[in-house]
Amino acid sequence: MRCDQIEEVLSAFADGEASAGERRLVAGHVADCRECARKLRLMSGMKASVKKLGVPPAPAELKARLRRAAAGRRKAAWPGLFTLPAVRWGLASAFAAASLIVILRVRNADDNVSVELLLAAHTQYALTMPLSPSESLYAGLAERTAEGDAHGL
Amino acid sequence: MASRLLALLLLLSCAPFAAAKRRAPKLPDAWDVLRESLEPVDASYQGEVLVDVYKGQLATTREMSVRVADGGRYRREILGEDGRPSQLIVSDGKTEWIYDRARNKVWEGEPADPYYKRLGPDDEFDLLSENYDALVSSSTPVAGHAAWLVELRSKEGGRLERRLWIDKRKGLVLQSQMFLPDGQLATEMKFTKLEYRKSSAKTPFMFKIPPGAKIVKRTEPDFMALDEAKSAAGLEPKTPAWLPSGYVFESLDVLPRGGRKILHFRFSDGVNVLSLFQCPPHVTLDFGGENAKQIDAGFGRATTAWTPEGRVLGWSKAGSKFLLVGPLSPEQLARVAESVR
Repeated sequence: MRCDQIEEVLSAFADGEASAGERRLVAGHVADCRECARKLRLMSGMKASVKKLGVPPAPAELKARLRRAAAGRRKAAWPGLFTLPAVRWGLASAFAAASLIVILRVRNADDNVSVELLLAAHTQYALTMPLSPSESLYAGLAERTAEGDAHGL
Repeated sequence: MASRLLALLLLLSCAPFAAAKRRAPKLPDAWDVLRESLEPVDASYQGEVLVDVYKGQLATTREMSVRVADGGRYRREILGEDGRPSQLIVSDGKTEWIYDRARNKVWEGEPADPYYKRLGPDDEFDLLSENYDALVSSSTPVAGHAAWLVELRSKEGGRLERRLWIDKRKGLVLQSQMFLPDGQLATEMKFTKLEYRKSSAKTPFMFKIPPGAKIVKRTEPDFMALDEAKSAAGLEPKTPAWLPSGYVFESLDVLPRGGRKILHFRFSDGVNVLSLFQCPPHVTLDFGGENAKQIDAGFGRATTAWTPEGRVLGWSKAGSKFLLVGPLSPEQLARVAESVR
């Protein structure tokens, strides 16, 4: 791999954010390339120095002001959003559509009549006939009852 | 001398006829055999049965273990491929349980009872004899039991409808074949083993709910008159103006479906049943199986499917959904359907 290509991932390597593959590439390259090894040491050194410096604490008054400002912006944003007519209509439409889907699903489940269930009723009646082939019908009845039930009896 | 020789020749020529007359079994009246087969068997029995369901040239076979005792008690075990019962149908004479092992589910209800029907057993037998001719012959034994073979043919057209092998001593149906209108065999049942017993233990006819099984109460079948339909279901009954020869209205039942009700009209010719289901508006008939197909039934679009009970035809008319099922030809089903109003 060329030095200009490896340079792109050196920073991520120094930050500890490089992927396993990138880490292998950088480690292999810097083992043979003095220039890139030096750049890496520099980068790592600078980042370590910045970390050592730390972030200066913000003044308490500034923190409080920022918190108040942020809270005010949140309050203003939400009521404003709901008062927009387009948003209100959109939400109402979405709610109506969702309700319709639920109603249709419930109705569909309720209005589906299993033909197996009807055939089970037919078979049960056929068993009352003189000379009915009862053993064949009993075998069919058990199957129809179970299948009809599986189809939402 | 000549006269003696002539007498001897005459005797010899008649001998085979006399022997044949002695050998020919005396056949009973076919209707007596059928009537006897409808009486409860005066013994408990236990056996193994094969049930074949034909679809064209293809047949599926189910194996059943059967135990029947007096008082309407029975236990039928439908055996799975592993030889273990996959489904049970048990009755103690008052309650019938259908158990599906795979689903661990029990359906509990009353066993089918012909004595509450509008057409009593005698009326139905009269209808049977009005519509069918019966012919009896002697048969080879079935499951080791001597049997009469009775064939039922429709009086109109002479079509073979049923073949029944009936135990000569006990009157039990040992084997039966049911045919479709096109002459194809639809179902066959045959005892492969059968043993009569004087008494039977109570245990096989008691059903113990398996642990964790879900119990579903089945609605009890009812046998109402036509004029009770509206008050019972809130639906204006739509009935066929045309029925195949020999069929009469027997009764109707109301099947609850959620908050809605479905009318079940039953028509009988003494042997076969034709069922018409009238569903309320906005109902969708779920055919489930993949053999259902859309057809132009002549009076409009319809859905048809093949079942072991006969052909099924589903259609929509004036907002209601209808389903017709019975051992009729597609043309007959369509004609009945078209006449529903």
